[in-house]
Amino acid sequence: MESILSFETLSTALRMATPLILVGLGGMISLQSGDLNIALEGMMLIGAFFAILGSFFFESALMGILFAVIAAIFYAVIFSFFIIRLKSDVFVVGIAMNILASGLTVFLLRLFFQVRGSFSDPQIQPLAKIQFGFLENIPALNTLFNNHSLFVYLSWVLVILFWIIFYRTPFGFYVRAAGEHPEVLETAGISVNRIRWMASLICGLMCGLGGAHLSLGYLVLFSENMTAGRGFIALAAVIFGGSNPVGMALTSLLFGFAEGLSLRIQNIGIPSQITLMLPYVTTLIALFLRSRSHLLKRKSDMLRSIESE
Amino acid sequence: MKPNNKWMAFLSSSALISGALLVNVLFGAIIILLIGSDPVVAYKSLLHYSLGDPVSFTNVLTRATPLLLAGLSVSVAFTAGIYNLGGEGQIYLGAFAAALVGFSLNGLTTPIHLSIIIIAAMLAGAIGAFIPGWLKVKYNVDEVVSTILLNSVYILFTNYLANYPFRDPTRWSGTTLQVLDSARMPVIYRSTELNAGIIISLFFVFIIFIIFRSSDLGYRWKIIGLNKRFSMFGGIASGRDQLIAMIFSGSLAGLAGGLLVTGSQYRFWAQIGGGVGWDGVLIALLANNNPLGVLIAGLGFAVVKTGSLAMEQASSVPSELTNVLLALLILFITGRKFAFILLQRKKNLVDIQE
Repeated sequence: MESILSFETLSTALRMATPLILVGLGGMISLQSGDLNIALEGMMLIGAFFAILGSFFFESALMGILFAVIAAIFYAVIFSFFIIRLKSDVFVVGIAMNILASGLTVFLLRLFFQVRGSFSDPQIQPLAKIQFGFLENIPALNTLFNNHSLFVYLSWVLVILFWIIFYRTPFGFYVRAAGEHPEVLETAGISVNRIRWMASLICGLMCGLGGAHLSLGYLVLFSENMTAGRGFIALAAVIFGGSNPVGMALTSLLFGFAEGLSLRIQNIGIPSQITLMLPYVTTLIALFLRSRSHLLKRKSDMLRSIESE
Repeated sequence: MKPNNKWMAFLSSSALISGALLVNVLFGAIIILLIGSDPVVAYKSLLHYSLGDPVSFTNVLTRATPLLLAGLSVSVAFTAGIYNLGGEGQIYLGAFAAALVGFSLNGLTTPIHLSIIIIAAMLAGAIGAFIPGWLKVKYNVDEVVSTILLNSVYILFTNYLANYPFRDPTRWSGTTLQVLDSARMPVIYRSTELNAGIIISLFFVFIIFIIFRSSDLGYRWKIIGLNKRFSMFGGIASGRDQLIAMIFSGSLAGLAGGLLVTGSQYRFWAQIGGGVGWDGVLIALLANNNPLGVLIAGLGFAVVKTGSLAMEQASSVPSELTNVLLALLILFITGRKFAFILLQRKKNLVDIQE
């Protein structure tokens, strides 16, 4: 058993949590501004594909990231144009855009690389791995924190940054007000829609980064629907974390751990189909427990208010 | 409402969809031109190999069989304001149940065997949809997230069953045994694949149409769907009806899987669903959850899907283009307001000038 719950598993968890955290931060700022963004999955998939495209054609990871971010922001612009400008149903647009992303990436995969299924090439430059010299002498910390892509560290810095933005800057205040009390914000002379647009663009940016980490961060390939529900797992982490980026990140870490674990226990003879269920089942159980505790709390609040009368 | 208004509404929505379709076809033509192919050749081959002759058309109908049910499945849930995006996974459950009953029950006549299979497939799909429905209604677990996560769980689970306990030992990859002869839908047109499954699908289009049009349940579903937010904040006991909608929805998806097995595949295999559940979502959105709309959109979908493979061979346009265009069509229809806004702006300008 010790090989399963090792530092390597935790290290994998950290790596697997990264795209969830990046996308989750995007989803969180969207949700704070009042929009439940169910197109995270699609934006992330677009990001993952264009990261490969940019990195392949320019043989540079930086161009990959740039392509991913621009494409995902563009996708977010379309999404927001529909829900903010045209006031379309957010579910209909979100669902259609997820299906569109899935079809579009498969189509572009055929068009640019003449392959079906997945594409990988030595010409694609992965994200740079970072090595801290001073950790190398401590085996546990070396396994845990060394040799990750830049984004793994970046994601945690961003978690702090988002917390500061949300709770210590006027912009964060406006974003939260746009979601909770839009009419107050309007009265104060600040356009709610402008805040929603900005939140949406930031969301696109984060989904682009998350997608780029997915396709350039550890496997260095693109495969059809490679996000495999991660956008929704991130959304679950957002729902779980509420308005707290740290809570969201820790939840993502739990889901990342489930993913890391599922990769590990395949090696001890458990069928992969069973182990691969682990992250999804973990997410479902987490959602269930949270909703149940919310419900119980509401009920007890209600009872208390009745008693006090 | 006066019948006059009803007709006007019907006409304007038809005009709207035709307009969106036209924009979509033109958009597709531009993409095909950009790829360096001839759009006329591409579209011609698409239509020729789906509607050109009776045998091609039977392919369309065979393909439409699960699509119609998947579209109905989504329509029922969406109408009741509960977003079942788990059709894909529920199709796998139904397909596996059908295969299991199909190869393991010996000595039955075809009608009895097929009836049992249909019930099993519907039951499997219903259970698959009941779980997220119950979580939503009882604990307010967001069903969009839960149904999508459960897709992965169900697909992996049925694949596990087909790879280990119920694997066909003579095959190298994870498929179940073939179903018995008594578990195969009778072919209804010469020696094509077209089978009695299409009749079952059409029958359910009719059933759902009747439920929506003239039953209490259908009426309540519509009311709950319309007042989703209101009933949510008001805490109206809409839960039971939504749960029933989920069970209906799951049964229809399960049946779609069952008909895939009994109608054309004759066994469960790793990718039997092949995205039919997601196509069902697009169909329901196109049809605005109307069963007759599902019939039209589903058949249209089947035409495009059948023809797109021929198009790929005739004009080197990847068949995946059609998936892109179909998703775009939803956005074009959803974005109809854009046209109105443009018109309005023009009108305002004219007003100002005057």
